[in-house]
Amino acid sequence: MARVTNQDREAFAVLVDRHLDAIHAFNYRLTHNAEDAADLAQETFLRVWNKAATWKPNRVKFTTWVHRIAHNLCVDFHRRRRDTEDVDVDTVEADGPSLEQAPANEALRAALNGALGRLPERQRTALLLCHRQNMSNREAAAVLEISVDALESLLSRARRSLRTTLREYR
Amino acid sequence: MNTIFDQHDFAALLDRHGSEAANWAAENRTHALELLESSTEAQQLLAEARLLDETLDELLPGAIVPLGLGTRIVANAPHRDPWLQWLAVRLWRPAVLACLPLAVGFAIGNTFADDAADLEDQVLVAFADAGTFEAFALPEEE
Repeated sequence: MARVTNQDREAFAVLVDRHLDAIHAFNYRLTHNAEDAADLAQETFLRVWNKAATWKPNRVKFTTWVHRIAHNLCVDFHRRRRDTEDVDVDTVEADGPSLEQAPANEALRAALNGALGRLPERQRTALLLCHRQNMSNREAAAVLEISVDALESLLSRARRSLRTTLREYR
Repeated sequence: MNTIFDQHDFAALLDRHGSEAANWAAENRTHALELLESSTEAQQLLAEARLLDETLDELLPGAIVPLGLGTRIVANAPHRDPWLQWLAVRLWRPAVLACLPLAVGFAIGNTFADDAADLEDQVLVAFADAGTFEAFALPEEE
């Protein structure tokens, strides 16, 4: 990172190579759109390049910092889209993850997919960070800039909602 | 049966940390594993949490990074002067600190300048008394 701060493009390329998969997947899971995910990944790394000197390694891990940037950009993206297009909740749910793979229990998957789409943004992001980005609760809390207790409260509420749906379809 | 750690605690643990035992809080893991050995309800809760996690794995898919995206990101990173970057990041705080006394001095000076102006007006009013004014007035030329 010190080399990136000093405009070293080779070091930046290594950094991008190392973290692009995770950031792109994170953006994709938050936007459900490959093009938007790619644009947001590009914007995320541009910010890393421009603000490299502001990263404080003794305070926050690099992966946490870059996920925080990506998350803030995704939140801005959704806010902008809501403001300009006046997207309603049903449309967002319909845009959710595709169910193209052969499902073992399609009704359950569809129901859980809908329930996932209806979760408040922060609950969904908390679940995503811990479940799919393989972060500890402490790291996920640092990304969302909340306490570990607050994060665990988000996770509990999210899983309880999904579990209720799960029980209805079993 | 563990009287301290019951299935409500276990359900809360699963909600906070998911179904993977490696992720459970260390202080509760032993109690949770003990409970699992003796409680069928706890086993059902775990099975349910596993099903939920597995379904989430399918519902939160990964995505293939578009070909060349990494190269494009690096190529599009604008050139910046490291010296300007250093100035922008490192120097603004000391610069604000250096300007602070100037701002305080300006504010104090401005306040007292108003007072001085008032005082000048009062002196003029005092000297406006006719007798005093005449005493100080220059004699008229003949």
